[in-house]
Amino acid sequence: MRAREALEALLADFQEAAPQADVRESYAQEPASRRISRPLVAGRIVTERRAGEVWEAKLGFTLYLPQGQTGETASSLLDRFGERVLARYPLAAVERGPASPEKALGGLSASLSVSLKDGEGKGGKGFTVLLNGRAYSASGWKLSAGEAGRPLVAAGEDEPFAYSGGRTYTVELQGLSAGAQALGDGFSAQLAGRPEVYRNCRWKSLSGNGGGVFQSETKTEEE
Amino acid sequence: MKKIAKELYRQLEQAVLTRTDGTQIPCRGLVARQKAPDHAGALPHEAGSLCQPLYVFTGGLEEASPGDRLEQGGAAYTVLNVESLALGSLRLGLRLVMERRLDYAGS
Repeated sequence: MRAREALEALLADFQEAAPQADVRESYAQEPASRRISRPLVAGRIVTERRAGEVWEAKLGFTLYLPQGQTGETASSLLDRFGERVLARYPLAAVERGPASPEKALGGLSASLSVSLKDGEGKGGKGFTVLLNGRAYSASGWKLSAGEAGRPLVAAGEDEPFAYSGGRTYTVELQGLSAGAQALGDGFSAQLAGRPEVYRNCRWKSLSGNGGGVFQSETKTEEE
Repeated sequence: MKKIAKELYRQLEQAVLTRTDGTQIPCRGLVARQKAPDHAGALPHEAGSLCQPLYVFTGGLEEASPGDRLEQGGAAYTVLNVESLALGSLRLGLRLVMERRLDYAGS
């Protein structure tokens, strides 16, 4: 997935969500009036970063309202746009700013930023996840590692002398193919193309639309 | 105001103000280009290219509002800002700050 593809897809989604609005890329050559008579949405790529296997992008959108329209209109439109973002990229992080006066165009403006990571979203390229050695397809994933275990502190001391338990790894999967949800506790998991194997995994949550979150405290790396 | 304004602006070119409700008001006045930097052209803005320079209409109008459309000499303008012109308590008309009207998306 590239940031440009994501931007174009989301601009099309926003246009569909708000047919009355004028949706375009930021700083387009098209002329714009200082006196807009309908909402205008401008979207741009804020950052795109690739480091090894990891790809990240941040997209920024600004909603401009005609004079006379209130912050409630902005809020309602941003709600709709936020829903569209999550429908297309379920693991995206969406951040909204407050409506504030816009100097050049006279009305209110409000911002929406969308952060995406590699492999996320239905629109992204599918990938394979190996669960107990069997291949399942998924459309997106997100990996996070928790803090290293619970600190054990001796009476009268501030510094922990040991930690109980290890680090917990949490893997969120989206669009997981059927069958994987039936796996019981203790399964192993490996994301295709990555050397790490998570062992002794257990489902933390499962949803009917193919979403699943599992956790593991054991990570090994395959040669 | 009507009589004085008529005298003041009678030598100036005819214009037509179209209100947002469609009402048309004929008037007379002068459209002048507002001073802009030498490199003035389109002003880049996130929403698109904003037209530069702006224009100022000074004429015998009793009322106008932002969003109204003014036409004079084959050119059309969108009213952005309205100020009263007065000499003491005597109203002499209006001063409109306008942008040249193009076929804007979003306008």
